[in-house]
Amino acid sequence: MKTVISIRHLTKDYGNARGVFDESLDIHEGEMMGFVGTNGSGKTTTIRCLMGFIKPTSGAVYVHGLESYKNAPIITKQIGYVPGEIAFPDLATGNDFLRSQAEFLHLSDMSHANELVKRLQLDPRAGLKRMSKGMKQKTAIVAALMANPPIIVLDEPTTGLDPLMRQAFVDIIKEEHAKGKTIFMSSHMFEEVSDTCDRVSLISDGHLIDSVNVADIENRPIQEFKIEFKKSEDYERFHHEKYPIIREQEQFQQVTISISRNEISALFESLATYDIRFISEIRYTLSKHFQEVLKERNNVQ
Amino acid sequence: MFNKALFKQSVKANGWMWLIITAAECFMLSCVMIISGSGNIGNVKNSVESTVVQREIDASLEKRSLSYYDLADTGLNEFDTYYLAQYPADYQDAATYQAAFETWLAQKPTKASEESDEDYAKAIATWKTTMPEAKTTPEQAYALAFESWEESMPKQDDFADAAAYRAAMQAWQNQKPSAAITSASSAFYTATLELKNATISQAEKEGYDENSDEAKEMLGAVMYALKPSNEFDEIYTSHDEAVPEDYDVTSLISHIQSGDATAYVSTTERISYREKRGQFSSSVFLADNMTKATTVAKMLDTLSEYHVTEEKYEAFGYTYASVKHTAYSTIVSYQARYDYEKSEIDTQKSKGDYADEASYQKALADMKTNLTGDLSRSLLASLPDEVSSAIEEVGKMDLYSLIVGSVFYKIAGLLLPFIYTIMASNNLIATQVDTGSMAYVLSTGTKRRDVTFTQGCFLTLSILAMFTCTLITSCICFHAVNVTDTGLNYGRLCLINLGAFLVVYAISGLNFFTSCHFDRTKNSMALGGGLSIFFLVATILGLFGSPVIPSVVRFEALNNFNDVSIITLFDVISITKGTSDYLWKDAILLAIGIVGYVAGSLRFEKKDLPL
Repeated sequence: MKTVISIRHLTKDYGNARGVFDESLDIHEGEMMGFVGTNGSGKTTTIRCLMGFIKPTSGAVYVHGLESYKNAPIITKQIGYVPGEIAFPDLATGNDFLRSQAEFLHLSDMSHANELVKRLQLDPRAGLKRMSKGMKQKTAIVAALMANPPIIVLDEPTTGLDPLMRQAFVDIIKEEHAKGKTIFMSSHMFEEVSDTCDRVSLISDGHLIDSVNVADIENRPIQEFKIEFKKSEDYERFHHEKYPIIREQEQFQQVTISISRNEISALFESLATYDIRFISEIRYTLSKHFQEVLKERNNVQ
Repeated sequence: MFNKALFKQSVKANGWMWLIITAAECFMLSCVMIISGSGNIGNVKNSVESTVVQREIDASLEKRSLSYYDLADTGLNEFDTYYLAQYPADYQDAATYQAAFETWLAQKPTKASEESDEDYAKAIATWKTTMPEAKTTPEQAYALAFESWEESMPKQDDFADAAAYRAAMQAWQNQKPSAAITSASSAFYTATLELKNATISQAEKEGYDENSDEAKEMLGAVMYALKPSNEFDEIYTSHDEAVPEDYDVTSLISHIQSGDATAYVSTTERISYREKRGQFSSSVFLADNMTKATTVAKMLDTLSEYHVTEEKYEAFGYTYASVKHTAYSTIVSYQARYDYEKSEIDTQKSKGDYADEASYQKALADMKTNLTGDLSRSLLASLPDEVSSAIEEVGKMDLYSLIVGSVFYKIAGLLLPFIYTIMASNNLIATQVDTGSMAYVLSTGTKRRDVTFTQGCFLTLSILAMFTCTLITSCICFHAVNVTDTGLNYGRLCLINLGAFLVVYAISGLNFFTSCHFDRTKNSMALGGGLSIFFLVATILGLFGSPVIPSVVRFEALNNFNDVSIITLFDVISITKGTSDYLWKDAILLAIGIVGYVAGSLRFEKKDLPL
């Protein structure tokens, strides 16, 4: 697979341990990359370096092999960018803004833009000042996508959107992804990226912690279940089964076990002999995964 | 380099602001130019000027009336002295001559009956040659008087009857010249001559030639007071004034005869007689002098320097009556105050405050000088030096170019363009970085240099357009008002507008730099805008210390503010006075602007943008 965006030992040191430090990450063509981290972890700084707005202290970001800071005017032509903070230029209406952007992009054909507007149910005649957050977001999306750029970079695009709006938004991004575009999207919400992205990277305190394929997390070979017994003798008896118990809560007569996928049917068979109050699967989520990775990392340190 | 889309965007974003500010600026400018050009300001100046001029003329009138009066009074006093000295000798002379004459008369041959007419005529002729020779003035006067008296002897044929003839003869006999009468007139004549010579020699002592106008004026002041003959009546009759009676020597003579003449001359009675005469004659003489056509022409000639036209001079109202009144009242008040001050000094003298007579005389003379100066103070002399020179300045200053150039274009008219410049330059770069909207520009592949170049072009062109509008407005207004006495013309208006543009351009360079340098609008505005307003405020304060302000309201210390403001490089004075100093100053302003734009542009290209 061809690498589109390549982050190489990227460091931007703002002092006081703020910034990003020694990040390395490759994003391949057609990939939809999620970029998660808490507030202030360095997501936006990474994207600013990528867009060539700020100069890295060391290391570099390459887009199609071009260093981003020096070649910003060239690489930004291939990127549709939706900034984290939506602030439009001082123009009257959405139409004015979109037309102005088209002019910047030397775009004479507005058909794609019009199509996007229709799909998003956006009224571009509205004044920019009185647009709601959602409308602004939609307008920004149209502006970023109307030139049909091969790369789309979104900085926390769903923040502040209601769930319905978020879904519509995610659908559009997914659609663009389906067209084969490379998408780089930052978020502070694990669920969002795990729902939409192929691959997710975690950034914490400026350090890139881990990068995983969402599919690998979803289809993990080991699953965990929590079981509560009605009677204490059942609770005692279950300890003699072969399943590895990872957690016990005697006061509730609960156990948590970790088994591989193919053992599930055997488990249910053996449970038939017990009087149980409930059984539930403890899902292994991206969030859980990263928590564990972080825990491990902290232990190592 | 030039990005059309960005330029359009900037036009849309700042167009309204530009339009509103430009309209307000042009409106303000036209108000200032039309109101100040339509007379109000000129009136202030003219009335200040007229007041000054009129008060100066008044003062010189008062001074002159006092000096006439002084001459007249002193002259009459001297005349009395001369007369006193002259009369007894003359009387003696005349009396002696009269005696000799009477003796000679008595020797007149009578026609004997045997004598033929021819013989008699011969005898008379012989007798006539023995007439006592009239050598001195009293003698001549007597002889002359006698001759004319004799010739005026009534002829019998002229009368109808003998009784009338007798009565006429009786009257004629009574008029027979006596030594007393002829010596009175001869002493008068001699004393007048002496007074004349004394006055002329005084004039010469003061540096005036005998035939100069000044000497004639001095002599006139004295002679009209004395009025030695009817020749001097015309000045009174021509103005319908009562002709003063002949100068009173009769009382002098009677006091000479009673032997207390010297004391009499310095009695209050005699002094006030002389004063009254002097008061009247000098005010008439001055009023007559001032209203003579030649004098008026001369005055107008001198006053034309102060823009006093004939109509204006007439409006001042220097008629015969008013001048006479001014002179008379000045003299009267002078006299009153003189009397009071003299009595004070005399009291001090009686207390023995003066060591000797000389110091007493000196005190009197000083008092007199002070009084004269006091009463005839001109407006300018009565004010402190600074104020008077200021008023003179106001009279001479070019108020219109001060208001339009130094006040409007250099201060008031800069405020709105400054506000526009501060806001626009921040809108163009800093605000877009601060809010993040610059991301939409830069994420479309626009080079940062193109951004600064385009925004710089927009800012420069918008300011240029603004001052093109003010230039057009100012030319129209200048055409509409008709201002004379101003250093302004269309060419200089262009230069003033250019200068104001360059000031704003330099300020825009500064603000453009801060706008490019800071990520936060508030910081950019604080530094760029703060400095700009500081310059403006410094110029306002500096104005009160600058040479265009009349020195009385000028605070020299405030001039230091001009040294810290770049607006000082906009040299309106140089432009309105037509010197070329403004050229290099304009060049510096242009350079400051260019440096600001270039430095801002370089800074913007290098810096991290939080977008």
